[in-house]
Amino acid sequence: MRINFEKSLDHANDRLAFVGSDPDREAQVETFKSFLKVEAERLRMRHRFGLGGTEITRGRSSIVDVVVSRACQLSASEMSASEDGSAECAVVAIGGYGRQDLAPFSDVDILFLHSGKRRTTSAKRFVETVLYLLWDMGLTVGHSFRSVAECIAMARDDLHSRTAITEPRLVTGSADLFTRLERELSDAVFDRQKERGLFLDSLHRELESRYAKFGKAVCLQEPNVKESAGGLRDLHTILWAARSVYCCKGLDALRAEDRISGAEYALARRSYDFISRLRNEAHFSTGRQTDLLTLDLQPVLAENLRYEPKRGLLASEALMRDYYQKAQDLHHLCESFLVRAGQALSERRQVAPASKRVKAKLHFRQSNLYLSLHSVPNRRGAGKAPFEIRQGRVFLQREPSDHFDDAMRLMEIFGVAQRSDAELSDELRLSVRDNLRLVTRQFRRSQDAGHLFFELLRGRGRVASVLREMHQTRFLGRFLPEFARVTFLVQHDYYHKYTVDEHTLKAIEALDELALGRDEKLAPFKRVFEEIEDAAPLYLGVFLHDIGKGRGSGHVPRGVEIAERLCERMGVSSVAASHVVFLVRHHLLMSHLAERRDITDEGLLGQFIETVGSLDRLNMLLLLTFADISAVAPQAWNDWRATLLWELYRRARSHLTRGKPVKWDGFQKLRVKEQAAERLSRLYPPSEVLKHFAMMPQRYLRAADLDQMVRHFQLVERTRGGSEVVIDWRAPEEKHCTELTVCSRDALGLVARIAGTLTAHAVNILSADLYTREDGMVIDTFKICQIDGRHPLRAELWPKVEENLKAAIEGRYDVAAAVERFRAQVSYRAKRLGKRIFAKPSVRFDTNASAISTVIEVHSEDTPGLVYTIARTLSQLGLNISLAKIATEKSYALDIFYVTDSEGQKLDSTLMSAIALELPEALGAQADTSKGGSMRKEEKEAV
Amino acid sequence: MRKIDAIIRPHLLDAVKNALQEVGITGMTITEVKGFGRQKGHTETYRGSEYKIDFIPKVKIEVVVPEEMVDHVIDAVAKTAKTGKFGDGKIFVVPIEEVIRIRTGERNEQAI
Repeated sequence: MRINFEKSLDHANDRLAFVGSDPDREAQVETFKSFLKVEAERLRMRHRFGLGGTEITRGRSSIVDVVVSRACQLSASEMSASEDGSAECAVVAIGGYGRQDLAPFSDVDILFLHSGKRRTTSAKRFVETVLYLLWDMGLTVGHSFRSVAECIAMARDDLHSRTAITEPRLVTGSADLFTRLERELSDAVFDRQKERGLFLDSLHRELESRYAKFGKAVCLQEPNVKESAGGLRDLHTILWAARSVYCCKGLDALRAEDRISGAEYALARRSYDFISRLRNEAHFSTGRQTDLLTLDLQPVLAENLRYEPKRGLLASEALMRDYYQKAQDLHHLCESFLVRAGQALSERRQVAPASKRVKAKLHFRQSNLYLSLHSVPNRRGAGKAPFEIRQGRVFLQREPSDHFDDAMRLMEIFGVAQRSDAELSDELRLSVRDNLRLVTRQFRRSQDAGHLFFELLRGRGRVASVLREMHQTRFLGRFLPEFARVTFLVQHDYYHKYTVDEHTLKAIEALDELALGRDEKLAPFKRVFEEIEDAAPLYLGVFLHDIGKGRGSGHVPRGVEIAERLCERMGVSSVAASHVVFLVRHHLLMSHLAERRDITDEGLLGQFIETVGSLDRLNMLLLLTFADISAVAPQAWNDWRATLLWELYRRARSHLTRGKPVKWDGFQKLRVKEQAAERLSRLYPPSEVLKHFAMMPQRYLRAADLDQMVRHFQLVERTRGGSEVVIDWRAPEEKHCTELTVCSRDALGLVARIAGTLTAHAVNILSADLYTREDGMVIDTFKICQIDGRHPLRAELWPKVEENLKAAIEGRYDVAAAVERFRAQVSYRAKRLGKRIFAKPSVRFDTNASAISTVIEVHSEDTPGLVYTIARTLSQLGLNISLAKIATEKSYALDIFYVTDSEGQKLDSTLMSAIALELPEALGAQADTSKGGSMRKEEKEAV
Repeated sequence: MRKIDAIIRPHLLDAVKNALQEVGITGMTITEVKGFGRQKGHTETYRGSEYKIDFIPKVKIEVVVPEEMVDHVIDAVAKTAKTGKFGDGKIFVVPIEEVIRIRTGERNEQAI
């Protein structure tokens, strides 16, 4: 169902024919408007039907041609014969319009060319009339009014103007003027020898700045399909370069003159058409010029383009994968084309190739001095090293076809690059890509190849760069098809900002950073790294940790399988392989434990140590966890997480190095308690001290350190038997947060009241240790930070918060109202992640993690007052909270609560069901009110 | 009560002021501002790069009037400030919650 241009023209003839007869400007504009509306709708229907991107943009361009021509006709007819400016004008389409490539809501770029003679006033008036018509009928026109000379001047000075005018097209008006323009552009701008090199350079610079602004990686989470790497502009850059270097206008001309191969031509057209179609859909869906594919737009586009979820991938993820593949193709084509164009220019520019050598000889003959010169043929290859390192790049000194006779040669190049800490030159990259067919099944299975690859992983600090080179040249995907399967694999969940392949490479980079030790803050990690003898299993483990993704749930066991197979294939030693498999199997263990569980729990710690088994593995796991988290998103790694992770590491390490069973720690702790008791007994009656420790829960003795034990007792004393509320503030440097301790008599909903008050002061709770003495005295320690930026709370704020906390605990402060007020202040924009993610808050129970408590995990959208709502609901059900850990990631919150029922026991099933019902309800109700008026209407109904 | 913000060409300020007085406006505030609209500040005969944006000097008139006068004021401004060319400007109407005359403490309608 191609677009029938005749039909549109006929339609135009019908509707717009009588336009001139009715002089009422408003009526004319109306007619044009309705014509445009009908045609736009027709285009949209064809797009929905499945017509390719370039067809649609061509169609729109034709429609605009019709409209512009009619508008010009109309304006000309309205002017009297003497002042007819139209004859001296040419209306020229430039930019995308010139290429007949107009997206549904793109601007229309028109050049009004005038003859430059003095009497251009009539031309001006003509242009005015046309322009006003076009604007009033709703077209967004970018225009300029220039003589031919002015165009040339503009094209020479301004890169944007020059690129816009590479493919001008006459819409209507003086053909002579247009021909003159084309001729002078060729002579003075595009075909001038001197200009070419400069033009190519400025194109390169423009490319760099465009990538810097819109994204250098193809696999951005939210790419700009026009401007990001791999977007439509990459093809335009090819066309601009082509115009200047090869004097070819358009992709077809390039093909005709064999400047690009048949395969490249087909690739360019396919990719461009797909991305164009995607862009058109974005325009149609949003009704505006939308080029940025935001996260909440992607599912809409996927649905409209009729993508279905398949095999564990969401529809939007499948769409993005297709996009990334096409964009990567286009991007590579652009890169290699620019390299070739540059080469073509330099070959032409040089009188003699730089590499030719010349021999000079002086001799006497018949009393005359003669100088003879002859060129010496270049000795290439014979006896010379195949590679040369120049300016940090590896160059091949031989002909690629001579050198690449086996895939091992390809692999070796990466070794060379790694050893010299250099990148591959553009030409070499192209050569590698051209010779990928050498990577056969046999090669993949060869032990030599496997060993060489494994060796590369030993180059601490230099692994990421070499892996990236392999990935960019597609060698990595060829050699390891498992990795090809996760290339461009999008992870549309709360945490991950990058595709799986990008995430993996970034994790390797994080490891390299540790090895290089450039960041002071990461020095402790570097020391751990230095304890590891063989870095290769660690690197391989990190490389494979997410390799099982992309086929629905269960990526860990699948990853283990793949890792085992791969290690066997590559001939990795069994010891190393066991490390790799361990890392893949348990890559989430340490972060989960540290962030979601009570690490002072002996049972849990014991299990962890048993699983880990050795100090070497503990070290590797620590580094893997660090690398994984760092690579999830730019701000994913923060001081708080570091603190939690190190605490777990230290506890585990002390057990592993001493080789003593975990129980020993209990005796250690007892000694701490005795020390504390001893110190306190010097200042307070000993019987009181002992009574205090006897009444404190078991967990307290495990978790609190000497300092805390002493301090807490003193705080309790200050409450004078519970008649006062005592609040203590601490800002320990190494903990990167503020510690707030509240000491008072227990009361109903105490935790909720404290949590609510803190929220109302824009304070984030990171974790809470809640201890209740048997006689009802409460020692609650909160680790808090400021809501934005995660900085410790400024000391100036402490008095105010303290005052309100006391008031809240004593019942004089309306916490619920304060939380509401805070929520109203904080305007939360409509959440930007897809529907799947914020369907409903989910509640999970873990009855095994602790011996005495039930662990409740609440996954939900992060809204202010979340902890308050949960704490309030739990206390209304009569439950006690002993520990809380709060983790927030962008707009997603994972809250962990260790609870017991009113009798101090684990929860029975009736209670758990009640919680499973009431919590989501309470959170849902909260979500509604907090979103309030800031959401669009449609979304409100969806919630 | 509503506030009417009118962005107009500077040279038409006097004309608009007179027209407003004829309609019965008792006070106004003027600010010199800069701005652009859809055409990015380019006139019909613009020669430069289509992609550059130019700020054009304008004048902003603010008047607060009772509900009944809003349409009269809009008409007066629109008629006087219109030249038919790009750059004529825009009129915005904004609701007002309260007005107080500082000297006497009068409020709302009495204070206009």
